[in-house]
Amino acid sequence: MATNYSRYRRADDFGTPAPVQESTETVTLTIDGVDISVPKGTTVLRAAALAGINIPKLCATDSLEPFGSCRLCLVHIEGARGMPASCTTEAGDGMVVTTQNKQLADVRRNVMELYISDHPLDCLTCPTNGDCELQDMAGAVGLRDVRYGYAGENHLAAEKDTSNPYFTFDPSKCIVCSRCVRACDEVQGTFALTIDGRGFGSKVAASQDQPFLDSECVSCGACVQACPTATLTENSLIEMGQPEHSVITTCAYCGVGCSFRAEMKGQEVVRMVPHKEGGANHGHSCVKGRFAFGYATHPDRITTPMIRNTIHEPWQEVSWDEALSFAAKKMKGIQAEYGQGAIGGITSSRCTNEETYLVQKLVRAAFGNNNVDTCARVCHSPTGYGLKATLGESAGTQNFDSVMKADTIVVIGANPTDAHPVFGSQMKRRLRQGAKLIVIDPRSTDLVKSPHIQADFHLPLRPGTNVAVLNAIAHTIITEGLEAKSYIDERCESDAYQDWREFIARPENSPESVEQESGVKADVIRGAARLYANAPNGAIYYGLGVSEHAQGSTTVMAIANLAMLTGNLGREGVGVNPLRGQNNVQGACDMGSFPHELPGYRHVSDPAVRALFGSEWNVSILAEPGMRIPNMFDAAVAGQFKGLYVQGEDVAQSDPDTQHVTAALSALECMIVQDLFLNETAKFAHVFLPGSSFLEKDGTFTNAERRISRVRKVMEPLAGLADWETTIALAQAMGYSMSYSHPSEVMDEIARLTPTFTGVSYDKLDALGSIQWPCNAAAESGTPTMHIDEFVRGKGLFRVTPYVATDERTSRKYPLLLTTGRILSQYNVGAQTRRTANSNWHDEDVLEIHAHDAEQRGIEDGDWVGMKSRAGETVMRAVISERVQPGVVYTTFHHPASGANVVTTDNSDWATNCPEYKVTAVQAHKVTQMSDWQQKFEQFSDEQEKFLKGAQSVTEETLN
Amino acid sequence: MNVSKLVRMANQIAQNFDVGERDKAVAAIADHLTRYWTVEMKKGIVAHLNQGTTGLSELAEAAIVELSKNEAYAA
Ligand code: SF4
Ligand code: SF4
Ligand code: SF4
Ligand code: FES
Repeated sequence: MATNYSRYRRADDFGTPAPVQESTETVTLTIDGVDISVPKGTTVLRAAALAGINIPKLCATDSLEPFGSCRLCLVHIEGARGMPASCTTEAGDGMVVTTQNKQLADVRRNVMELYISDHPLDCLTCPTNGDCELQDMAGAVGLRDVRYGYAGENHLAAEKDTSNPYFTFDPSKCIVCSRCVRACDEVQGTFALTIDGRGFGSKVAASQDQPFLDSECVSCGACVQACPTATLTENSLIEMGQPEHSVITTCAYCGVGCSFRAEMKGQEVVRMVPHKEGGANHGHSCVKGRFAFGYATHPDRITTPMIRNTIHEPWQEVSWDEALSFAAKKMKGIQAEYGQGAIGGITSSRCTNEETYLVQKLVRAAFGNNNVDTCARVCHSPTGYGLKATLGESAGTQNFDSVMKADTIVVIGANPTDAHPVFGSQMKRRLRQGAKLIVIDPRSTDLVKSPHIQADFHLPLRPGTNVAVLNAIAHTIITEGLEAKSYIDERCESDAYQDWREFIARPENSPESVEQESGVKADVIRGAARLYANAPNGAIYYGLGVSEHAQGSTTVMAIANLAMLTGNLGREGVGVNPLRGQNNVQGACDMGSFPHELPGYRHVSDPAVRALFGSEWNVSILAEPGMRIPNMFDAAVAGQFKGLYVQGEDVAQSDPDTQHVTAALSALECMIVQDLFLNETAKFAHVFLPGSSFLEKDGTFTNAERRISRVRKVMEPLAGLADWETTIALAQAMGYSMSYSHPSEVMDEIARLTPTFTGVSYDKLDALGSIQWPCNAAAESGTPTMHIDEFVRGKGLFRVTPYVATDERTSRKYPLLLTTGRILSQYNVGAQTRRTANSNWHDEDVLEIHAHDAEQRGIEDGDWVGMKSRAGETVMRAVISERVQPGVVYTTFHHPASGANVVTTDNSDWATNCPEYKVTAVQAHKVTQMSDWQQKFEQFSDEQEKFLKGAQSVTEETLN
Repeated sequence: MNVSKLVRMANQIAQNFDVGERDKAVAAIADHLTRYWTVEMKKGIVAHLNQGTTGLSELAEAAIVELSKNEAYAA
């Protein structure tokens, strides 16, 4: 394998973006005697850069619209008067451009002289020394002297703003090019920065001239990346100095799957810079991916395997061999005593495709059963079920860029600006260009109203009534004759459509009938229905607010019905797009992590598929589906399930009805946890196998657009083994041999066995950057848009979607509906982000409650509030919020001690058992102390911490 | 496994198929259970049929009668 490394240099910058309208028309011009043809709409600056001619520039960069303020990029154009700025001049056919001559040089030197007279001359000790555009330009224009001297009025003494934990703002170095302001507006869409004042007095200010941390800034870092000077600089760079090599890899946080350049010094990451060629992110990122990588080297990382006989005794540090044979012996012992089906495994949506594939292979081949499941069970399993049933493939239909062609965007139960920030920014860009917006969400999310964005319709439905509202939208479309008749005739099964039509036209599905139940006004539903149905391109995006319900799968099918009904599938700008939570949820599902499916979503009951895998793996695979995670827990409580291998998941914190989960985990005789940290689940484990972070291994992740991207190793695994190697070693210890010397060989096996992956290989990924599956003979370089001429299942299938009210209803005892979600700076159970400075933004989970409900209960902002449901009780701090409706309360679950899942119930989606996180009936009241559960939790955690410390100190003693 | 949980799940599944022709619904429910439930769960619910009062809805019960015709799941 060739090395992943390339010598560090600043990413290429062509000065201005490529023209938006990809026109086929080209223009040919001559620049410094060189002929070059470029697409119409290209600027002279960009045309020159494409020809390899670098015109000096400062205020222009190719991630931003040109601004024309610095006057450094001036050129001569034959027949044109004066010296136009090349960054704002469009290249014309036959233009003859001169970029360098005496007159231009003089003007440029003068410009630089002015800049430098108000700039500190401490280049040698400046953090960006060696990578500074101002320095480069001074060199390029040949600045030798500053005639004005440095004694005039200047900003050299301006104070630094170090409030943000990740970057420093040093205004003394600012040249007021406004690249940062434009980055915040155009790229991120937060509008946190302004240029305050005029002329000499002008300066960059965050919000109302506040410290960055207190401003509206969301710390995405776009301004830092855009700044040509040391004014906005990453703290890690200030500490460590310039990187020496870089490696392209993929963010391990969310389902956007941003591509990054890991900029390195030896095995240390200096900074993560979003990769301009990244297909998902085009050079943008959020605070998590860019800055929150410190967890990977956090002192809490456990790097030595540990074992113990019961969870009530201290851990013992041991060698890998000892840990693995201990684990294998226990698992085999359990099978001998309780049967082959008494053990199982959980794959991780945070690990790579290859690792996930190996875990399900271990379960099916070495454990000899189908008891494998994944955390997608608790988030997007309904997506898999619903989209497969209707369209034929368990995945989103578009790429992210498709949103730039959407005319009406519908966002259902998703909060992209927080949970999928980079895609959220892209969506906002499209909305600022004029696309219409419908938000269906109990909460007033950021999208409903934020700078320069205002939803055309917000449907603040009561949690649990998604299906009723979507049915009413479909009802409106049908009864008002807005459906796409010829599309339906041509592309959908007509019997099923007629059945569905008869059902949806029933009066019980009208907006007026569901108004009462859903809390959404009938005319708002009708307006939204018309706006979506009449749009040339209507695109639906949805998140966990759709799937995590008792009718999650039904809602997904209702969404697919709507898209088929309006002909919004099979081209750019439309589609049905699940926004996946964790980085590799799509991949984990693709890789056969579900108990009923082999890789590529093929049911275990299919003898041909079983034979295919069976012969490659040398085993016979069971034809009956295995246990889902909740089945495993139920069976554990019943004493029928005794051994579990968990890779990179934290079921004890992330799964609902915590007390039931901990009862199940406590009943296990052998739990093997493989993770970076002693997470909540590991506190119930008997074997701890140290995991490796995404920086420590090779592999691939698949994002929400089905885009497979490479994860590349930039440092050695801290514990000696990468996760895929550990699974192989565990299989070996159990007597099943797997021989791979590199994850690329695992991918080759996946490609051999899975029709949608036939054309995927590491070589092709290296060549193309990323690939959207299906990738095979029919689509050599992948498939950005699915279902173009026909649906994967052939004809689209309308599924009848009756609304069934959830059992989880409010009552006199539990009058409020709790719904849950997530926030930007923290990720999932927070095991990673809590171990970074991101906790500056969110150091505890809080309960958002409407002023009216708070007042009734005598609750004030900041009070401790007990929240009780049928499942349990926990205590959190209250925040009075206008974002929730009266009767609805909201919280997040990023911190274990807040116990949000103590309150959530074991209700789940009828088809997939995805838990109903989004609806729990609760009561809230003011309290003065932690709940019983929290007190017990604290006690248990303290004890487990001691067991861990005990292990580490014992080992130290024996070593000394 | 806790049979009351199985009953609750079966009823919930049945409710979601409770539209249109009854025969189709019964077949769809039985098929759903076949495809997604483990053998032990299927055996458990089939065995439960013989109890006097099952707690199953009429539709769910019909589907489980259908399921019980498969020998592999006979109690
Ligand atoms: S902070 Fe940087 S990007 Fe912003 S105006 Fe100053 S020099 Fe330009
Ligand atoms: S970090 Fe992002 S949000 Fe904050 S000011 Fe810079 S561009 Fe704006
Ligand atoms: S967390 Fe998501 S949006 Fe943020 S950088 Fe990572 S992949 Fe991109
Ligand atoms: S780069 Fe063109 S004016 Fe600044």
